[in-house]
Amino acid sequence: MATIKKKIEHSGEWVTTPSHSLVTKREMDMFLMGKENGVEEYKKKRQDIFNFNFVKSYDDANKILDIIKAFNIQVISARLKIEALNVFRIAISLKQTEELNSKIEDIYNSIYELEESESNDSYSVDFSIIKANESFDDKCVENDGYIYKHRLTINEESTRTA
Amino acid sequence: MRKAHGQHNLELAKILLDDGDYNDWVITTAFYSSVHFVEHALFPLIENGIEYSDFNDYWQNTSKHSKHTCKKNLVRNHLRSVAAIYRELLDDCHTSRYNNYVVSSYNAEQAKKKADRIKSACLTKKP
Repeated sequence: MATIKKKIEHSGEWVTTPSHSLVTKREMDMFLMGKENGVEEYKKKRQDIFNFNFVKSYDDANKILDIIKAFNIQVISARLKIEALNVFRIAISLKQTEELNSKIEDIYNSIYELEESESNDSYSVDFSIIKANESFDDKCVENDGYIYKHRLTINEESTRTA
Repeated sequence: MRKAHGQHNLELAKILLDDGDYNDWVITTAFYSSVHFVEHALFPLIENGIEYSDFNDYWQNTSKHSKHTCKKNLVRNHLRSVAAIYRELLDDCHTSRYNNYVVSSYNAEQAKKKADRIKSACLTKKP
């Protein structure tokens, strides 16, 4: 194994530094397990991790949205960007009001607490707050990769426009 | 070095705030002033018996996150009194494009005040 790894990391002119290995332990295990079995098992494991994390990120968004709503702050949208199967970014857009200005530090402290308690090696969630003014464009958030919109905020949007 | 650059950016934030026409850049300069003051206050950092000379040394050897995420978590752990406002400045800086870079005078003034608070906390920790 060490020989294969060495060959990959020292081929050509590029040499990796120790802290930026190109070959992860999981990839090496897959290589050694043999192609078909290894690939299938690897894909299934990744899919299971992703499915679990995808649902969890929704639950975590709900926890923060509940805190925000308890402060009587209007939520415009909540969106999810998936950076990796274990890295989830959630952007919550809030209408900027005096109420928001007075509660924003409490909201950030709640976010810190949730991120610290829920993040681990296989799941990391990172929230951002957008203070939306009259020029806010939710489409720009979507175009930055936040392609999933929270169902609750879609429902509220329908209620507001009905 | 970091402290001087933090002060440099903070002075620019004040000039831009007084001018009144560049509120989006007040937010940006206020945030990047804070980034430098935070690095000044926190490094060198000893964690679990290992000394990290600067932020890049720390990030390369410990973090699985982006640099900004790593830094805001460091602020949470070592400068807790200003962790929330540091994060607010970070978000305000990175999300102003979603408001088409329209930033109110109120938000610009608040950003400068928050950067002043962060500077004060950092220089209290390490003059």
